Amino acid sequence: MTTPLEYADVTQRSNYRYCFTPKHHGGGSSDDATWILSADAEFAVFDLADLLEVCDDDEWYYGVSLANGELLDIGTWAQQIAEFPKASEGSPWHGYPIWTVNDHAPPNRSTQKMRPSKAIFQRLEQVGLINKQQRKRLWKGDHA
Amino acid sequence: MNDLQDTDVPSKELMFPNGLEVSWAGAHPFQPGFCLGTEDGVLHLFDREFKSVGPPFNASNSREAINSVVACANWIVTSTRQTVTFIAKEASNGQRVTHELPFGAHNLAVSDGFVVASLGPLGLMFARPILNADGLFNLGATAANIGLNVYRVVALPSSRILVAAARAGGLVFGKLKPPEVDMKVLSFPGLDVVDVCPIGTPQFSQAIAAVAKDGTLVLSKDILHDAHPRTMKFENVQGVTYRILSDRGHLFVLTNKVLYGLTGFAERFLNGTLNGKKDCRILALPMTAIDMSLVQNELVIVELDRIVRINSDVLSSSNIKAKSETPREYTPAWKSTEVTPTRSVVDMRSILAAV
Repeated sequence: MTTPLEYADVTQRSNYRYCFTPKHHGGGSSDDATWILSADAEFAVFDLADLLEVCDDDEWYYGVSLANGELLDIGTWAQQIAEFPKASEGSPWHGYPIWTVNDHAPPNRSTQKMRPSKAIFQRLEQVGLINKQQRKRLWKGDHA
Repeated sequence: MNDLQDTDVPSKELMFPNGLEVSWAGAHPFQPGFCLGTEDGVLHLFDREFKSVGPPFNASNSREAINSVVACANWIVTSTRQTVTFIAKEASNGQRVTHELPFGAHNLAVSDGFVVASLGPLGLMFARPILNADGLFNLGATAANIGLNVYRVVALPSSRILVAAARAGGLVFGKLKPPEVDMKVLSFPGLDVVDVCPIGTPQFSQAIAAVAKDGTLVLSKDILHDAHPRTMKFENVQGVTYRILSDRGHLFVLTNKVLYGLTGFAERFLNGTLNGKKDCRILALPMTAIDMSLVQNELVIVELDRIVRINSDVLSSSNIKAKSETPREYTPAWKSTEVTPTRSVVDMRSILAAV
């Protein structure tokens, strides 16, 4: 992919538009998080995160992909959680798989707390996307 | 002593008090006993009878969940998804000196005075805590991005050899000689290695067992020189695989649903009697666990609301209800490659100065 591609549908709760960015679909560097899901499945992660309001105070959304209750890998390096940073007004949203451990080496590393916060993991459990065992595994940086 | 529900396996358990969310359990860093790490970055130390040894203390300013604890010189070292923290063994006036590295790690190992951390996409970190002549803490440390997702690292006990599970990247291994990175990778398409453990004896000091997320087992008598490790799978293994440990010649595989005990499996592999014709005795204990460690011949298993301890010798008992199964052996196209850091080795001194 060399140019952004907007999904044909919008999310069912907020009518958010969503686009697939080259950076996270093989058009970026080897360090960039890259999706392995189909376009429909990737949008479904975002749609469900929006539907169930899995977001933090900054309105960044987080989602997972499930099959028979098991978490699927969603990224090329076995990531299992996706992050969708708040889109600017009028722009479509986008997202990417995120690492379970801090992936920014100093001095480039942000001084902010790790994302997602513990509250997001608790929210994922509260809305039934993950169970307690999966929440505890993910929170300490392990696959679930 | 309790028996695990619906099994005849003797075990000991420790229920967590209300509000205590344990994320890791293992050996006390400096004496016989146990250590619990919590989801808010606190360590609790216990003696062998699980009586508290001193008050709990903060082990990561990140307040993230502890996922590994080791001892190195006079330091307790912890990791979380955000930090690696060195904590002084001795408290002074109730306070412990701490030094924190802003690297998240999946786990820690200790080899030849170095703490080795698996940094996920950032590779490996080697850190040696040193006290200067004036008593100040100094940290000789390097980190190397090797272009792989380094998930768990172990140090083989009788050598300076490190072996790491690097998910789809395969098995990474080599001799410890920081700051240089001189390691090799063994992998095959479709492999997703999530854990590795030593199974060595004096005769086979470089022997390892590894496990993939789907339960595939990888066994090598000499990981440094074995281009085609034995690869097999028990078809009845259920769930997502989390951990593999070995003790007394047995193998233990933990999934999100079951703890499997493979009687004498490592021993038979090493002595050449694991031939694919003779069935293996497998003990399957259903449980909902998140992690396990080995503490003086005991499996210490973290479940959702308790610690369960099982003596590894339980597999030697003829009274347990084990089933028999023959693993299916594979001959995958193993590929061996040299590791070349995708970024130059990072000099941690400048990083520490900037933090």
